[in-house]
Amino acid sequence: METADVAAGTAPAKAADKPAAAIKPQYISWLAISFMTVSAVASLRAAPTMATYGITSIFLYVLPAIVFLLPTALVAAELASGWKGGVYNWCREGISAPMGFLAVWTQFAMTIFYYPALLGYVATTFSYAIDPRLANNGFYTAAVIIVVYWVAVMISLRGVGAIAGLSSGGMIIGTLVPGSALVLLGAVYLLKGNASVAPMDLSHLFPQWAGVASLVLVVNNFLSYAGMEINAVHVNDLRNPSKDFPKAMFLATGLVVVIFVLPALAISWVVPSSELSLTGGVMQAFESFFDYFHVAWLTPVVALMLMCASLGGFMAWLAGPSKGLLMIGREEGYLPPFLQKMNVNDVQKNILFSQGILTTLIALMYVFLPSVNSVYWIFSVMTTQIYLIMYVLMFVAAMRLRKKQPDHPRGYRAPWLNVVASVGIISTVAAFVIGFVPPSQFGSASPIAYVLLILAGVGGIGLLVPFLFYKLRKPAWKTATADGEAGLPSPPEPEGEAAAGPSGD
Amino acid sequence: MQFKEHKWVYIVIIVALVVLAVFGAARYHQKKVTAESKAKATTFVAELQKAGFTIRDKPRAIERSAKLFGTDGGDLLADPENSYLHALATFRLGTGGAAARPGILDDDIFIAESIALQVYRGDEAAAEFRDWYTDMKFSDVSEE
Repeated sequence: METADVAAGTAPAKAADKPAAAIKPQYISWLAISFMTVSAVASLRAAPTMATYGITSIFLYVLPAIVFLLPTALVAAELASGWKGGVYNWCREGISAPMGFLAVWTQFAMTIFYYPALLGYVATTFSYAIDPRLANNGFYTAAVIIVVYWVAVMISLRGVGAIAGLSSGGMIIGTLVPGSALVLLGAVYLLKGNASVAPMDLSHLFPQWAGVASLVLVVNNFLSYAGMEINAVHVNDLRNPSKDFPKAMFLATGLVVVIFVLPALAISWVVPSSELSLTGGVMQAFESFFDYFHVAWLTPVVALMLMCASLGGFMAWLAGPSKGLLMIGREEGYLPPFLQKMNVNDVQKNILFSQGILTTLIALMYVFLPSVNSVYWIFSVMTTQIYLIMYVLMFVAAMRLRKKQPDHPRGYRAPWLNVVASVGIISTVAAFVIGFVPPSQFGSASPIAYVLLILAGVGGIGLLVPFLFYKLRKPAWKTATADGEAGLPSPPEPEGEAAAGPSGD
Repeated sequence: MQFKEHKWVYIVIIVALVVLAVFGAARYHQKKVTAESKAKATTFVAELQKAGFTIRDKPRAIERSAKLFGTDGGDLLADPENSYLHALATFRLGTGGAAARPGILDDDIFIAESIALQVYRGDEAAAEFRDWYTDMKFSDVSEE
């Protein structure tokens, strides 16, 4: 086991110390990238909620798939088939280096509040398998968030190969298998001659119009597909990136839509919406479904499977945006050397550790400030708004790159790119604007106050922080070039700082 | 998938999951439907109908409610405000996905829960819950 750090700028020196045969790149298959993408985006978490809409759920998923998922997937497929590094490099090449940094920062900022929320969901789901009374216990939730985060970081330090395996496995066990089981049981229910409990005629295809609330419902669903681009940062870990990444994106796109639509429909065939409403909880809805087939004992097993899916998705997110941040941080000198440190598997360990400290603090708030639950959603809204900035930058970069570098080799060229990217921009802007509509829990408080609150968050977390990094950058912090080679040498790190992870993977 | 390099990580995780799945399935028990839980569930379903909920299969709704709430409402009604906030914080209300955010909810779930509280925990618990959500903004976005 190699335990030495690879400090920024010293990578070649360390690498040179190893015999050439010992340095084996960690290639991952296009199928693994595809499954990682599905894992990051799709889950069965929302299936019971969406089942309450019955056949309308098809519209609620297919429309966003056309106007947001497809543009994202096609544009990401073209960009990743031509440029390495993911969103930061696309935006740097297409717009400018600061915009590249802003793009990857917005992606990273989204994860700050996403991880504790996702791991909180993992805690709740896990409690269903062991003891449902734990679900609302702050100590338990905090402990799960902290333990799972740090264990995941330790595993991530082993390199992208370990992450790809666990993320893909989590998706298969936690989404594909139970999703297929739901659809199969739903089909059996119909084939036995039962009528669907939710009306399935086309007159119910469109949501009933309830003013702004309906718009919020439809447009918020665009965000179901957010995250399709995050694994592009691993494009260089594919053997044949220009061909493999587009393939991975197309498979992922199809799987994501199927995973969202079919299980929700299957639940709506069997469990009445009134029952879904009154039971409230996700696992109670699954229990209702399985109870009909006299296999309610499967519910805790499915809870564990859903937990696997969430953990797989978490691993995919953990490995994506932070790596992009590291890459542009090194190549443009936007990050201080401490945050540029990698281990021998090229994993951005200090960024993950720093984020871990933040995640731990947020988790501790569950214990010491139980009221954090009541304001937490506001931070999620802020960071989602910030994340949408990245999509606009990505679509703009794609159009500009077509114009600026038309002959740059690309393994895949998206058809009607300008139209596709424009549709993507319009959808993203619509999602951004709708993000300022106060949700239920904001109640009768002033909508203007809500808009100002969200704007302050977007300005502070989304713009001010990356601006400060940019302003405080130093030429000496530039430790790699855009083609991935180490740049200006920096003094060697003191020995003895251990990093977990095997060498030569 | 480089199984060999990381095989111990995979093996430990798979073994832990299998043990937990067996433990969870063995420990799982649904609440027994008793005469008392069925009587309460019958009242609950009748109250839901009175409030305008469409109950397509009444016997099934009664059985499900009896299993879900037992005689005292069980864990689901133990701390409704906190459960709601926790669900909101962990993205269980609203759409799925990493960038999920809350929307304008239908009030069905709140009305159903306040009726359940009234039947299983009494008028005071129901009134307290209604006071808690009364300031929220709702809309009729889902079909009954």
